[in-house]
Amino acid sequence: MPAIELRAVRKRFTQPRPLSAILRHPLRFERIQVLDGVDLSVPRGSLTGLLGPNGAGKTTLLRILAGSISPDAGELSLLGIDALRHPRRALGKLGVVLGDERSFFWRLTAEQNLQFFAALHDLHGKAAKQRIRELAQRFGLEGELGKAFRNLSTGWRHRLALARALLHDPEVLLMDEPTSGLDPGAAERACGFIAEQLVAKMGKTVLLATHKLDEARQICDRLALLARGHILYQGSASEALARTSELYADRAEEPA
Amino acid sequence: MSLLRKCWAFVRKDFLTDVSYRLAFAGQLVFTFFMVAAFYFFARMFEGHEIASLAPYGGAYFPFVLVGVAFSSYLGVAIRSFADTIRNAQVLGTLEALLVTPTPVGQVIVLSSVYDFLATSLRVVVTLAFGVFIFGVRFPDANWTGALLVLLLTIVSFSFLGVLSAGVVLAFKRADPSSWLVQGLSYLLGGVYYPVSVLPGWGQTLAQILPITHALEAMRRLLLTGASLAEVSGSLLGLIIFSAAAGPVSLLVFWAALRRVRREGSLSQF
Ligand SMILES: Nc1ncnc2c1ncn2[C@@H]1O[C@H](COP(=O)(O)OP(=O)(O)O)[C@@H](O)[C@H]1O
Ligand SMILES: [Mg+2]
Repeated sequence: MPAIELRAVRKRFTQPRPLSAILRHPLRFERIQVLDGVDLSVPRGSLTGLLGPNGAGKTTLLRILAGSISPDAGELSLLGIDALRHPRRALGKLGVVLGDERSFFWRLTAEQNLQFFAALHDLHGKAAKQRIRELAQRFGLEGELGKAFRNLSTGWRHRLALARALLHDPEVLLMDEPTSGLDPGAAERACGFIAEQLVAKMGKTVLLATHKLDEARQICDRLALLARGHILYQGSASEALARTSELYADRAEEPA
Repeated sequence: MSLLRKCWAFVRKDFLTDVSYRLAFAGQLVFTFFMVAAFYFFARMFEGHEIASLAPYGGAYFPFVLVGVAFSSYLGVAIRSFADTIRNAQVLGTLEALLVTPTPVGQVIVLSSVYDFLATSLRVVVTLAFGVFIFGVRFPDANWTGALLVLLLTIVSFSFLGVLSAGVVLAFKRADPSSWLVQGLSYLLGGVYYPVSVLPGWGQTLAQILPITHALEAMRRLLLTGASLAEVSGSLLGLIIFSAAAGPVSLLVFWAALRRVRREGSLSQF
C-alpha cells in the first residue's frame, strides 16, 4: 500500500475578477484547469519531490491532500484511508507544512504555540509537554522555545512549522516549498535535515513540493514532474532529472 | 473531557495573546462605571413619578435599564465573535493551520469564541455589581436559577445570529454589514432602554422576531419581580422558536459557505 495515492484528480479554478469586470461581463468566467487528471503514487518511506514550474498546481495538489481544497473529481487515499470520505481520520495521519510562516500566534512563545496546536490534536498536559520537549531536542529548538514567535528568525520559524507538523507523530508529511525565504546556507541545512532526520532516522514519508531543480536533485529519491495539469513522469530521481526539460516545454513564448 | 481540555487550550491562548488585556479591562471597568452612573442620574428624572409602562418590571427605571444594558452586551459579542474569529484567522494566516488538524471546523470556531463570552460575562457581572453595591439596586425576590436558564437560552439564540454572520464573512471575506442591521434593530426595538410597550404597533410586532426582546423580557421579570419560569413561558417560547428557526438556517449557511470556500480554494485568502 502506497503512503499517498491520487487517481484522476481534477481541479479547475474560476479566477477571481474585479467587481467592475463582473458588472460588464457577468457571465464571462475565466477558468483555469489546474489539475487535469493527476495520478500520483508515493511509496511509504520515500522522499518524493513534486517538481514543477511556478503555477503548475503543486500547492493546489498539497492542499487537496490536506483537505483545504476540494477536488472536482478523482480519488485520494492516504495509507489506505479514503481522504475524501474520512478527511479527519486522514488528517490524523498527516503532517502539513504549508510554508506560510505567518500561521502562528505572534504574541505567544514558540512553546505556547506548540502547546496550543498539540491540543488540536488531542495532546494535552504532560503528554504534550513531553512530546514538545522531544521534538525541540531533535530540532535543536530548545533555546527558542521561550521566545515569542514574532522574535524568531525565518529559519527558526520554518523549523517550528516542521515541529508543529510532527506533534501528533504522523507517518506522512506534506511540505510546500520548505526552503522558500531561506538563504542558500540555511536552505541547504533544511534540506539535509529533512533527508537525514525526517526520512532516514524517523522513517517518515515526505511529499515535498518545489520548483527548485537543485533541491530536488540534492535530496529526493523519487520525483514526480507536474506541468500543464498532468504528472509527466514519476519514478526514480535520476531518470526524472533527465526529463526536466519537458517541464518548461511551453515556456518559450513567455517573456524571460 | 477532551473537549474541555481543548476549550482550556483556546482560552489560555487567547488570554496570553491579549497582553493588553489588563489595561484594556481596567479601562472598560471605568467606562462601565461611568455608564452605569449616567443611567443612575438619568433615572432620577423619573423619581416620584409612576410610570405605567414600567409597572410589569417593578416600576423603577434604574433597575430596568441596568438589566437591559448588562444582558444586551451578549448580543454584540455573539454576533461578532464567530465572524471576527474567522476574519482574524484569515488575516493572520492561522485559519488553514487550525483546519489541517482533526479538530472539526465547528469546534474550532465555537472554542475560539469562548474567551470573548467569558470576558463579556465578567463585564455583565461587574455592571450588575456596580448597580448593587454603589447605586443601591436590590434584587430581593430574584429567581436566579430561572435567570441562568434564560441566560443559556439567550446565548444560544444570539449565537445563531453570529454563525450566520460568520458564514457571510467566510464566503465573502468582508465584514458582514447585516450584523449591524440586526444589532441596530435590536437596540431600537428590543427593549434595551425602554419597554417594548411604548413602541407603535408595527414596532412591537417586529420586536417579537428579535431574540433580544424575549431575552430581556424574561430576564427582567425573573430578576426584578421574582417571576417563576411558568410566568415567563411566553418569552421562553419566543427564544426557543427563534432558535429552532434560525439554528438550522444559520448552520446551513455556514456549511454552504465552507463548501464554497473549499471549492474556490480560498480558505486562507483574505
Ligand atoms: N484559490 C484560487 N483561485 C483561483 N486560482 C487559483 C487559486 N489557487 C491557485 N490558483 C491558480 O492555480 C494555478 C496553480 O497554483 P498553485 O497550485 O499555487 O501552483 P504552484 O504551487 O505550483 O506554484 C495558478 O495559476 C494560480 O494562479
Ligand atoms: Mg506553490
